Amino acid sequence: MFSDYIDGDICEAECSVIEEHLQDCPPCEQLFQSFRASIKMCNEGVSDEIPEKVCERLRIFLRENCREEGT
Amino acid sequence: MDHDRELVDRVIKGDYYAFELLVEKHQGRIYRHLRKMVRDYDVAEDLLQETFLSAYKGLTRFSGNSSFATWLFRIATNAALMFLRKHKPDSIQYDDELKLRARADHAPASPEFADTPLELLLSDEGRRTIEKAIDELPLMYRTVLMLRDVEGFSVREVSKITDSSVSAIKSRLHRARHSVREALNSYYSERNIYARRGATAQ
Repeated sequence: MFSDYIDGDICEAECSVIEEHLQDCPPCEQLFQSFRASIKMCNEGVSDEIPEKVCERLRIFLRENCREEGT
Repeated sequence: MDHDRELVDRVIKGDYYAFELLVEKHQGRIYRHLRKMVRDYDVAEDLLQETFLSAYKGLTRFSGNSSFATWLFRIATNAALMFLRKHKPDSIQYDDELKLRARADHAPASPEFADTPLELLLSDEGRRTIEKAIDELPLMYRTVLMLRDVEGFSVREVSKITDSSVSAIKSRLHRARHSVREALNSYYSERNIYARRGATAQ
């Protein structure tokens, strides 16, 4: 249910139930925070850097092959 | 009109430079996605070239019903799956009862993980840890997690990209998130135990 709650995929009533419970239950609150932290790490912690050489080879490959094919 | 759509229209009219702009914009994310799917840098590069070549050839078929990124990621995902089907067929499992690593779904959260500010979690060590946690997921769980939580697509878009039902996506995402959370939780908890033992010994 944390998954759906974090994605905003539950109705208001269910949302209120979860929020009330989290306020009164420190272990669940901490579980929720760790769940949220791990999703944030996924959001921001995986690099999309691409080596310049890979970009260059891609550019050359596409110039050679696309112009032959046409779109 | 969104910028990608505008560039696509220019490419279709013969503006190749517009295609290079599209490539430049999306290549990093596509490369990351392919790297994570196939877990091989050389293969990821080959598939990257194949993806963009297919996209170029198929641009007139891009209807605009989805975003360009969704369409492109679908091409990339299919290219990776075709490669894996051919060369590593065991890696493709659709069974939703597939057991992830044997961990309690609701192991208590370690305060070391739950309470650490995000900027500290995103140290070099933290980044290596999250990459490892994702890499250890089985393929179909890894793919869904990457698309939803790393690339930021909605569940519906992930469903279009992977040609799976929304309910299957939610189920895999839920289990993948739990597995990653548990891996991170264990890592930070163990790390702190050793740090505390080290401090005590001194």
